[in-house]
Amino acid sequence: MAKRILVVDDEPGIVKMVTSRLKANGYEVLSALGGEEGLAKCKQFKPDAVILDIMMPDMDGASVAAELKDDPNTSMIPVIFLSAAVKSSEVPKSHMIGGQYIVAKPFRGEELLEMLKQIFSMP
Amino acid sequence: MVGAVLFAFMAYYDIFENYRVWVQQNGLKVWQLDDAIFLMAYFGFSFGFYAFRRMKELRLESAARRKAEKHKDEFLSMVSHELRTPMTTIREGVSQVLEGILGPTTEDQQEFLSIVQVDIERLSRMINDLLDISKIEAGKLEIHKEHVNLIRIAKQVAKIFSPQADAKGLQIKTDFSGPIIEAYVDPDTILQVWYNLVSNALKFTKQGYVELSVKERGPLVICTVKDTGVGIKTEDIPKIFNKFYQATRNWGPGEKGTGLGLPIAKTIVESHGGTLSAESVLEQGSIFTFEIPKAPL
Repeated sequence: MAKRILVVDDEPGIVKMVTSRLKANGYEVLSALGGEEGLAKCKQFKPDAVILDIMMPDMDGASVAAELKDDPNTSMIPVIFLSAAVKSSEVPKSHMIGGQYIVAKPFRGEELLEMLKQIFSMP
Repeated sequence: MVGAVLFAFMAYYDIFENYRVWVQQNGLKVWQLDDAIFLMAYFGFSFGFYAFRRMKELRLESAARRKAEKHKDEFLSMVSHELRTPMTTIREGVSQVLEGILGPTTEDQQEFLSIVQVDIERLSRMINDLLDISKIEAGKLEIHKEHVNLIRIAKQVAKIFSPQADAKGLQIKTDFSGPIIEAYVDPDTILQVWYNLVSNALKFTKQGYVELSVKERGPLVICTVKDTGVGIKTEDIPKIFNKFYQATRNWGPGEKGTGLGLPIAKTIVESHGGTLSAESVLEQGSIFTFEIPKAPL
């Protein structure tokens, strides 16, 4: 069965590109255009992985990930953060709240696919 | 300063003279002690007042500086976000169309998009360099040192660049004096130094090879990037470490740099307590050498 991925970013362009790239590689894709919508969809659909932008105006990626971590129903969902930050100091903080993966913008589609492959090949 | 002392002295002397006259006229004559106390009190007060005012000034200045730095920080972070986000969609969009994910394309369309793709990479490099240099100038270069095997980093760089070298028909050689040479450095920024030096070497070499070497010499690690490229005129060598300096105008397609790679590399090496230098013979090649201390500073 195809893995289901939720893409959360406030930039519609990014959501569209990532969705198209993942679909072309056989994933089932859901999308959300903000932190709150992303959190709600995550709780509703329980995707196999979440691709989550860090800088979002309504609710930032780190808070979304923290809430996912707090809920036992969603705490096991792996999170890939998308970051355009200059400061690398933002990275370890997100690590601490449970996200294990970071992709720096501007990223290539292949990098995301590689990371997803890694996540799903783990026991 | 001298002026201020002179003025203070004259002012004092003036008051003192009037005082002496007054004392003489009024028949008082307690001299030496009064004189000394008056002098000390006068200078004591004026120095105290000056110090108080200066401290207040310094406090205000540093508060203003902190505020300006914070603004610069926020600005950098904002610019970085605003530049990198569109780069992602532009790059992904073009590459998905080129790969045919969205349907077949004609040969002409593919040729055009390939040109666009090369320029996207160029723009991307430029954005990264500009953000790096602004970070450095804002004093925000982050260095997290750890014990690192420099040979592992050099091997990683050789691997990253081998497809690019193959495409130009160049060889990437390595020369290491052992399996492990450890130094206490920040692996990310040192990787960037290698990256900048090797990408330059490949850019300016048409035939032959690029050689990466790592060797120990006493308390130092000596890393070099040697190429058999166009070389640099002796009088240009000091200039190449200046920001935005370009030693050539003969660029290949998509090769034009920002003129920031070497100044960035130099700053990184220097912030590790090391030095970066260049030697070159025109039409024969160049050697870039950076030396960094092995032990923590």
